[in-house]
Amino acid sequence: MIIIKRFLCILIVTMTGLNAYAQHSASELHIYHGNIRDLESLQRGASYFMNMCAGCHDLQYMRYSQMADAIGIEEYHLGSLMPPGSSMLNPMSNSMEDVDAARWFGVAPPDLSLVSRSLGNDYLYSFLTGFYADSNRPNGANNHYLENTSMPNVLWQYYEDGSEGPSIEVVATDLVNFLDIVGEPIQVYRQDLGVKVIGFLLLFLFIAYALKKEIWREVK
Amino acid sequence: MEKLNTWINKRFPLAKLIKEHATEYYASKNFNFWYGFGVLAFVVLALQIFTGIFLTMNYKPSAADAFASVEYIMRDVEWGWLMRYLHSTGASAFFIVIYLHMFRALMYGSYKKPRELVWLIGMVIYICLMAEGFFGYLLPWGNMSYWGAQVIVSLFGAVPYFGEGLAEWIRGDFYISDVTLNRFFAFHVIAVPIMLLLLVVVHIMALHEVGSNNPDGIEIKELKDSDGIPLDGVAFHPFHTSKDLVIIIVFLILFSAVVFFAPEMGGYFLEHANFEPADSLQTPEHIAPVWYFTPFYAMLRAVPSKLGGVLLMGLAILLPIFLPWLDKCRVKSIRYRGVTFKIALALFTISFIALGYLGLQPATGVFTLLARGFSAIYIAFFVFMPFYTKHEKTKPVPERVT
Repeated sequence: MIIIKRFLCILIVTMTGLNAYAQHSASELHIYHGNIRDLESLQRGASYFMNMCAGCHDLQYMRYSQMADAIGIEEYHLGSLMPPGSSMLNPMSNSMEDVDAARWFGVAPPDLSLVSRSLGNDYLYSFLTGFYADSNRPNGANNHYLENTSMPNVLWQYYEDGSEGPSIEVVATDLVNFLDIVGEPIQVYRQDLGVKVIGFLLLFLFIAYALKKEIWREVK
Repeated sequence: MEKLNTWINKRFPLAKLIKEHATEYYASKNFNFWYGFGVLAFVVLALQIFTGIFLTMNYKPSAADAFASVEYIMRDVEWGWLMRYLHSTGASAFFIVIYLHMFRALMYGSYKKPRELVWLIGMVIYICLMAEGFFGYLLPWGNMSYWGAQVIVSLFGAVPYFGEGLAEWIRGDFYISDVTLNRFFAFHVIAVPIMLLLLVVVHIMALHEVGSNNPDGIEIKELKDSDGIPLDGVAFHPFHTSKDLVIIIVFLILFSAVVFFAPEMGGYFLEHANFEPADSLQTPEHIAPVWYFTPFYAMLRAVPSKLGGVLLMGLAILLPIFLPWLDKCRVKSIRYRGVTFKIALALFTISFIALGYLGLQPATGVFTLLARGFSAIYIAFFVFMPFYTKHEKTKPVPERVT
C-alpha cells in the first residue's frame, strides 16, 4: 500500500505540471465574480438584457414568468421587461427570423438560454468587456476573445471613461449573472435543498452507525 | 400472518431464498470499505432505473425534440431537474463504483479459483455498462453527444472490407441522425438494462454459490464450527446489511454533494459542449468522451493507424477477462503477495489513471508519447502476468482472518 501511495503522489505532481503545460496555450480569460443570490444585480441584468440584447438574442427555453421567479420580482411587475402583447407564459423569443438575421449580420445571433453553461461565465464576462474599436469591421468594433465577431458593441456607452452611469465591468457582471440564472433557474433552490438533504443524511448516518455498532457487538 | 407465510412457502421458496442469500449467507467478518462497492453498484443501478423511468416519461427521442425536451425536464417538469441530475451523476458514480469494485478484486485476488465465473460475469456486466453509458450519452442530443457517437461508431469503419457497411448498419443512416437516436434510445432503455439486470442476478448467484472473498484471501468455508457455520463468517443479514447501510449513507452524502452543488462536476460529468444542441456541420472544439471512457480513448489514439488503435482498445477491454488464468500465483490477497505483483499493480493503476487523464487532452506531442508508454504498461501488466507471478515470493497466509 505504501508503494501505491508513493506512486500516486509522484503521479499527482507530474500531472499537475502537465496540466499547466496543456492549458498554457488558451488565451487568458478574466475571472468573473458574480453572485446568483444578488437579486438586485439579477434585476439590473434582466433589464440590460431586455433593452440591449433581447432584440437579437432569444432565450427560447425561458418563459417570462420563470424569469420573474428567477430574479425575484412579482409577475405583475414584469411590464417593462416584456414586449407589448406577449403573455407571461411565452418563451422569451424575439420576432427576428434567423434567415433575416443571417442576412443582416452574416450569422444568426445565437439563442442564449444555455450560453452560460456551454461557454462559461468567465468567457461571457471577458467577451462582454473585450470589445475594442476597429474601423476595418462593418460595425466598427472587434473583440479580443472572438476575433471578427459579427456582434456590434451594443454596450459602447458603458465603455466610455468619465461618462455617467455604471462602468462596463459592472454592467457585464450583471448581465453574466442574469445569463447564469437563465442557464439554470433552479440552481439557488437546488443548493438550498442540498444543505437540507445532506443534513438529514448526516443525522441518518449517526443513527445507522449506532445500529451497526449495536448489532456487531457480539462479533469478536 | 403465520398462515400466509405457510401458504406462500408451499408455492414459492421465499423463506429458503431469504435464508440462502441473507440470514444464512455467511461472509467474512473482516470486510473493509473496499467490500462496500458491490452493494453501492447495486444501489446506483436501482437509482438509475428509478430516475430513468421518470426521465423517459418526459423525454422525446427524436432529433427535432430531444434537446428541447431535456431542457423541458430541467425547467418545466416538477422535480425534473432532480431526476436528470440524479441520472447524470449516477452514470459517473456507476463507473467510479465499478472501477473501485474491480480494483478491489485485483487487490484481493477475488477473480481467482473458485471465483473465476464471478469475475467473468462481472466483466460482461462491465462491457454492458459501457454500452449502456455510450447509448445513453447520445440521448440529450447535445453537440458532444452527437460527435462522440459519430467518432465511436466510425471506429467500426476501421474493420477491413465491410467496415463502412457495418458502421452504416449501426447508425441506420450515412451519418448520426434521428434514426440512430431512436435505436440508441431503444438499446438504452430496454435492451441493455434487461441484460444488466439479468447478469447482476447471475453474478450474485455465482458469488453466493462459492462465497465471498475477503481482504486476507482465505476461504472461510474451510474452517467451520460444529453447526457448519464458518468460524470467520457472519450472516449477511443483519451483520453485513447494517454495515452496508452505513456505507450507503456515506456514499449518498458524497453523491448528494455532487448532485446539489456541482452537477456538472467542472465539465466532467456534464460536458460544457453538450449544452449546445447537436450540429452536424460544426464539431466541438475538441471531441473527448466522458471521463469513464478516456483511458480506452487514449489508447485508441496512441496508435498511428485507425485499425491498430481499435484493436489495441479492444484488447485493453478484453484482456482483464483472462485474469483468472493469467495469474499463476496461489496466494490471493495483496497482503501476502510478493513485491513484484505489488509493483505491477501499482504501475497498472497509475497507467489507467494517467491514460484517463491523457484521453481528455489533445493528442499531440508529449501527450501521445506518454499515452504510448502507459498503454504499453497496461498491456504488459496482463501479457507478462504468467511470468512475473509464477515464482512470486509470497508471505505465509494465516489460517484465520486478521
